[in-house]
Amino acid sequence: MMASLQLFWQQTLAMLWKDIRCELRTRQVWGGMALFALLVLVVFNFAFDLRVNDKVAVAPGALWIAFVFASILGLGRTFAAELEHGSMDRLLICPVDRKAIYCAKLLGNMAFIGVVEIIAVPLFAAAYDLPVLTLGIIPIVLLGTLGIAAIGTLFSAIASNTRAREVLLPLLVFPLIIPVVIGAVRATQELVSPVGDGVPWLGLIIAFDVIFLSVSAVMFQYVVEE
Amino acid sequence: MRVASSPPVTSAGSSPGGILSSGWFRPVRQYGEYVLGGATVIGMLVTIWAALIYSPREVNGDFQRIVYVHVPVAWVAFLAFFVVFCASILFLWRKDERWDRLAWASAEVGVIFTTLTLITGSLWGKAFWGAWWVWDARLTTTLILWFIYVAYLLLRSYTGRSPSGARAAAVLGIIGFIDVPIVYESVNWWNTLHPQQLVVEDQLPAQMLVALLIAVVTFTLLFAFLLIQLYKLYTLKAAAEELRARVESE
Amino acid sequence: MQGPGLIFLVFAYAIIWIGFFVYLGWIALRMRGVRTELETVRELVEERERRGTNGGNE
Repeated sequence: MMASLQLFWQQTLAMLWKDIRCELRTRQVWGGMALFALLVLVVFNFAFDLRVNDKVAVAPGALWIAFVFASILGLGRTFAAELEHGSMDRLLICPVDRKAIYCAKLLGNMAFIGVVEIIAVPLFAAAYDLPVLTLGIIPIVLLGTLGIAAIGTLFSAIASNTRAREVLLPLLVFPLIIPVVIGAVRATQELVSPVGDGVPWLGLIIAFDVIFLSVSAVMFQYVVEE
Repeated sequence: MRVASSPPVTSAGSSPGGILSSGWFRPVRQYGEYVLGGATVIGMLVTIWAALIYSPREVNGDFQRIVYVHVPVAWVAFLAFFVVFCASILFLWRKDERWDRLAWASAEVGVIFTTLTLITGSLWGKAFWGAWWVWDARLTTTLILWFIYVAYLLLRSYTGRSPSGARAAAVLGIIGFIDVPIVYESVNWWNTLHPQQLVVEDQLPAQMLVALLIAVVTFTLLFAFLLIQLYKLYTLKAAAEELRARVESE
Repeated sequence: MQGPGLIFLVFAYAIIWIGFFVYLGWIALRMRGVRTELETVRELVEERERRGTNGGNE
């Protein structure tokens, strides 16, 4: 039991490290995602005139829209390297648990989105003059990203098999992650200016994460099976 | 896949019953469809009578009678997605293409009925609330359900009739259905800050309940009828594609 | 039949039943398309089989 678990993590980390090294060498995704997230924030500023006094109500939404859009960019690239080099078959031939592949891709996506968030949150706080740079933002961002990435990794595997993958991925992912987005926006709002509506938003995100992480990890094998 | 190993395709085309494949069901397979169709037509006439004439008028006016089509259509929509969910699980488990066709057929009927639910619901809302749409939990969940299953049909049309496409669709069929209660709960909580006009259900008179029940039964029959038609359609389509591929590969 | 908003009732019922008949018609159309396709392919198969047996005899 212990040994198999150890093997699972060794495999996962090996694949994760491969993806990260690949990204560090080519720098295809990170820069683009971060720049895109910042652009969305800027566009939102003009679209909603965020200097007005209702920015507390709108700004958390803008932040999460930026994260979700940037995530979709990154998620679309999850299996890009495998597709371009045709190495998906070789990856599947390896005696590796499918769950380990899913886990590695999930962690990779979280790392990519996480880097974007580390850059975007301080800039967001500075640009809109909101007190989001507290310890409380960390679990919200982490759990929200986990939910988006859990669904997104699974469906990027699905979309990568189709012709119109750029169109299909957001159409598949957006409706499903609505609970996470609602929870994350509300939790961020509570952080910025506590309303005290008494709703456990973080609990909602955790429940979503647990359910969809387990379901997606099980379902992933059916998606990549040849 | 099952079809690849199945004997002469000509026989696949002439078996409409599908899941009821044992000899016991032969009469059901031959005539069941006509009985079902006839029952649906009669049921529809009875439903119109019960909804428009039999049931008493409500205090708010006659537009309330929209409920006798809105509720059954919504019920069928959710039933259809439940069938997609079950058939998807069975497909992934049994690897039998017939379950996949059932899921596909049910998803299509479900999307049609969800569209009708949204339309009739917003007509009722305009008459009762004076607004086409409110962001209430039930409405929003139905809308998101519609998005999920339209994406399901899109995915199916992009992947065609391939094994990997079928598995991907099954995964979406399962995950989409699991997502529904979570969406409902989250929208419900989200709405606590935006108090909405609540529909307080009074004790319904017995006649209204009877009319509603007739409508629900009839629309469920209609759902079964449409499902069988679509299932047959997809079976024939699969057979035709199979045959065409075999002819062209020779 | 009276009361406010009656027009919505009429619309709802009309849309439901027109929707059904359009949908049924669409299904019938697709069914017919598939049947003709099946028939064409069947003819193709038969033709090929005839040619195949002829070729075998020669």
